[in-house]
Amino acid sequence: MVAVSTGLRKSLLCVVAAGVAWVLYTWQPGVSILYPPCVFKKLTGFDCPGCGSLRGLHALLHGRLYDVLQYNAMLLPALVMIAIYFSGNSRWWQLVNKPKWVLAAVLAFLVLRNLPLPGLMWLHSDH
Amino acid sequence: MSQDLGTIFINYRKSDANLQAGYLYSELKKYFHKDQLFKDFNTILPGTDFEKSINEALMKCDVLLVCMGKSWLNATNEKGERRLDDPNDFVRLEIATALQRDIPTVPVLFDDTSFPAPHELPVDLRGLNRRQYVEIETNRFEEDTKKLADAILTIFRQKGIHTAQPHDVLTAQQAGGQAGTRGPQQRSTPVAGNTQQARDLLGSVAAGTKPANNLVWAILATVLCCLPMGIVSIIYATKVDTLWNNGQHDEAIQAANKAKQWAIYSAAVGIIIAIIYGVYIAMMGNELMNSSY
Repeated sequence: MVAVSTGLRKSLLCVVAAGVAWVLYTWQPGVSILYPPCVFKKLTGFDCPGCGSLRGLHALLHGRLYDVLQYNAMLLPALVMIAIYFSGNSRWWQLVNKPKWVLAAVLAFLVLRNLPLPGLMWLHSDH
Repeated sequence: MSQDLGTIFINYRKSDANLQAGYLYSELKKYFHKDQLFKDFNTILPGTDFEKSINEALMKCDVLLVCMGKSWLNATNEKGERRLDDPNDFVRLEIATALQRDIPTVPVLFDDTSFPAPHELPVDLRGLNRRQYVEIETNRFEEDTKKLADAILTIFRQKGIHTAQPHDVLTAQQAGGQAGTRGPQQRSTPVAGNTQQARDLLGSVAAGTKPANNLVWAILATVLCCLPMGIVSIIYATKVDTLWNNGQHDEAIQAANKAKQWAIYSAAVGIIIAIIYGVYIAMMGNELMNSSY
């Protein structure tokens, strides 16, 4: 975006990511007023595909993997995909780089997690 | 448009490497626009002068690929004579004309075909021996074709040809002292809005590789920032691969750009909301402190 060298950009990204991780670890989303609410949810009452991701990250940093799934089912797969991208391993990236599937999954998640069906309640971000 | 871009002519013998030449053509479309590729370019009508017709066809040729399978060298006609020994054989005439006019020629050997020895070739084809050849194995077709595409791009660069329409002045700068693209004036519609982005994209186009579809940024934008804008970003990311494989390289680059832009807008919206929220909380905090007295 800005005209800085790639090395500097990467270091900045790492610093920012570390800072964010520290904040997420220390303060609990949903309890602490530090975190802004989801605008989509406030306006429509429905969960957006990202709802629960902050609470999920907090749970992940504290090692509670089961809770991660409960807050946002797509968070773990998304994190795996992002990790593969930044790892630079092009073979694995070739495997997961399927934009159409991602689009389908995001849209399906958006719909399914808002249906008031008992079998799908685990997809809602607050249950 | 094809005058500005490099052109690639595929020479092959139907009885020898028909399938491979066809497959090569479709693989090359991943790296080059279909207007740059010419297979079966020679439709010689009865009664026409062969040499003149071939000469005219090759006028636009920047690189000639000579496809050789196992039966290329000793293919025979109905009378049992070797086709290469017939001075009117089209395949021979095309190659000979290209060699004569110093058109870069790349022999492409399929599946363990060995390059013929000089004495096995007719005199006007012996120049082929001095050319660097590329081998393509069937079970490594894609990787080997990529090497061929790189070789072709190197030839283009040496000739001062760029594989894409120049999008802005950067192309001329990158070319350095070499001549810029041939043909009429450059189009001045910039694809990328800023220098670094343009350089990244030109880098990937000049290398003939597919641009990154920016999918990861689209996902992050959707999940962390602004849902609707994030989804728009993902949709653009979806289009990049399809467009590129279809040979629509310019459109693919634009789609990759759009995906990135929408991800950035989404992040901007997210940041603005966070700031507004922060201000709100600060004000609330103030009120709470004031009202407790």
